[in-house]
Amino acid sequence: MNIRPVIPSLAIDTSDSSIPRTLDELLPGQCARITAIEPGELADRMCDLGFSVGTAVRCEMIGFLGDPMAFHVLHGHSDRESCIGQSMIALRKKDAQSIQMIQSKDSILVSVKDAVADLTACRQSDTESRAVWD
Amino acid sequence: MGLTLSSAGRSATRFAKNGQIDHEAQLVALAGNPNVGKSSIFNALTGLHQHTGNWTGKTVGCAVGVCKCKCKHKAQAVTDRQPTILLADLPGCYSLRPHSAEENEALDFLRTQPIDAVVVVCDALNLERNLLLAYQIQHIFRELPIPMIVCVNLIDEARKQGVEINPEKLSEMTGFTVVTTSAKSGIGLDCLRTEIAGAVDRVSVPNLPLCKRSEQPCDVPDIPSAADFLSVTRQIVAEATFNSPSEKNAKRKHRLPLADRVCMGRYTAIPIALVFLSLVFWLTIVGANYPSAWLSSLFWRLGEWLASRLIWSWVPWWVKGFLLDGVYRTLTWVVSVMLPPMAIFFPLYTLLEDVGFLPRIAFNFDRCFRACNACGKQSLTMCMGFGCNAAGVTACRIIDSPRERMIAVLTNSLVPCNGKFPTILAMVTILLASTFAGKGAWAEVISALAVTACILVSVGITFIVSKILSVTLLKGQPGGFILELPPYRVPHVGQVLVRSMLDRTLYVLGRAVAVAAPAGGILWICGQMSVGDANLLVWLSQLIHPIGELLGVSGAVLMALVLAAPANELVLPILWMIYSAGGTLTDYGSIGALSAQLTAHGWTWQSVVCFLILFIFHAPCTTTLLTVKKETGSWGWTGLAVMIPIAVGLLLCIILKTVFVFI
Repeated sequence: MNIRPVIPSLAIDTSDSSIPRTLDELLPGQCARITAIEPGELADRMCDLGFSVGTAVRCEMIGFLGDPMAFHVLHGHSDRESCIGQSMIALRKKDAQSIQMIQSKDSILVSVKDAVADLTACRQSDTESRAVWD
Repeated sequence: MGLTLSSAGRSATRFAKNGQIDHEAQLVALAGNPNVGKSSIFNALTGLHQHTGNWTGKTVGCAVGVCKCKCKHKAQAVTDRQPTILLADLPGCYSLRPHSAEENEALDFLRTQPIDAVVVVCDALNLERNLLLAYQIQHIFRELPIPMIVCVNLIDEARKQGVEINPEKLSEMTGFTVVTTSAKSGIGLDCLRTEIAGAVDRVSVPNLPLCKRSEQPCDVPDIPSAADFLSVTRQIVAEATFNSPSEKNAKRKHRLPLADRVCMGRYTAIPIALVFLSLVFWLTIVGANYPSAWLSSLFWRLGEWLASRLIWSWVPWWVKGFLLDGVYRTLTWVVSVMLPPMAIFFPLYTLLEDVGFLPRIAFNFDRCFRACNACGKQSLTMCMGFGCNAAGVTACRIIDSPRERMIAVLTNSLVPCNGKFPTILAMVTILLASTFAGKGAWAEVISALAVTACILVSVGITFIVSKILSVTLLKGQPGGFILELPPYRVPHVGQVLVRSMLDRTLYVLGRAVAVAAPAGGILWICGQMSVGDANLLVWLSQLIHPIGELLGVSGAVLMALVLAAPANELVLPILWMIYSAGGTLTDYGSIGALSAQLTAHGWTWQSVVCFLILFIFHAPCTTTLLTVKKETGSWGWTGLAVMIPIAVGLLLCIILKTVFVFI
């Protein structure tokens, strides 16, 4: 068994790693890190308000009948474990579908490079053995 | 978002002395994101020293005030006179790329006005995003740099969360002067004043707008987007802030505060929003009764005193009649009925806005508006429309997409404003008294429910008309809805009261009075003229009576609705005037007297219902019309804004009339 040590608190959902997951799939309380934003009219605006590649977000609330959604955009540093600021932004479900993300277990922040490296490593070791990550 | 000064009351506050820009004045622009406490900083630095006047050049919708700070201007050491430092509060914007009207305005102001320094107000907990604006402004002024100060506000809130900012490090990494402040507690404001004075001191180039100073053409420059600066700001903020989480913070689970869980919860959101709004309306209606009555009696006594002056014996009778019975009476009627509700509604609304509740309302109702292809922010303009339709139309500036903004502007007059509530209440009371005679204590509850029903009907009609507009005249894709929900903050009650009085209440009142005064004179003239035996107005109403019959009301009602164009409060007095064949506006006294008069003229409960419908859905008042013209810039859309409520009213009346035939 070749278990690659990872930062213990990071658990990446590898079940559907080929299909990029979008922000509207988050449930309240779940955290994620943005990996890509589809270009479009709203992409610029989203960037202005803090949704940009590498940002950590946490879904806080889903409105009546599932729309719109409220997210906390978290600011933090890759070495530290807590956030130094946050702002709450509301987004319609349809607009959240244009933001791709990787879900993370909680709001402990890791840099995008590490997160992507972990994902690649997971895929590699998956072919050798099934490992269960905490 | 946020209802900034420019979207709320005074639309054009400009500065001048003797019609010229004061050439000794230095202009400092105050920019920043919405919800960072920019207005608090502005108010703290300028106090109430805000002026109106004329800038040469384009009109801008931002407030300008005189900044109270001393500086030693080297060039004027000889005269030892302090130059005036003007502080311009730009509309809050997230970036200068033109996404919305407010951002356009801010960019315009920065490029076309002779600015000497810029202060960018930032939120300590959101520095990454806020610094982007500072970098964009620096980019605009890159050829001829001007001093820039970054004011990191809300540090008290940051401290509560265990976050500290290192201003020296931040300054070193960004190149801007950094001042940390907390406008609420007054920390750092003196330092800010000193920095502003120092920055202005260093300016040696004479005031010239950017587009005249540099080689840049005056059309829209290429503003870099947030993504271009992101890695830079992220790195800078990471270096310059540090988090010392306390025990409390470390253990704190990441749960939303209770207030948010309730106000935005799936099932509690809309009921809570409705409860709060109903509370505001109830306070407005009930609270306005006593001041209205008091103002009425005050003006009446004043009128009596004026009438008894000897000067009137020197002028012809009709001058006295025109001025006193016409202009004065109408003017004072409008003021006494309009002022108290507005003086209660606007501060309450501004308090809700200051607390941070309004964006939550937009969040809760967005689903309903999306179904009509409109924007959730229309819920806020509708709420403002309940206070005053004109203010509601101005508030539509918060909607980014022009198509959705137009829908909101056109449908704003479909909701009853404060001026209509007393009449609606009176009519509902009459209606219930005639059908549920002698119910006593229940009567009040049923009246309240009936008024609520009227409001719900108008809200429902707004949705339907918005949907119709969005599939016919104003077709298009739904614009994006992306809204910041600021944390709940304790409002500055004093500031709210003063600003909402000065900016919204007095502004709207001023406009209404400007139209009501001449209208009063004309009314009096009409009342004095006669055709044959009868009063002109009575004769006219009999003439149009057949049209009224079609709609289930009398001709007098139609006359009153047309003549009350300046202000909705005038409908009942004019109706009373026509029915009593009097020549002047008089108060109808009590509900009982009004009821008796109406019954004597053949009114039934069906007439009352039709009157209510026509009263709620009729042409907007002149103040609203002028505001629509100003906001849309075209008579075509203004004409549509008139036609839509009239068409709705006519249609509903005809339907009701047909239904009544079968009842």
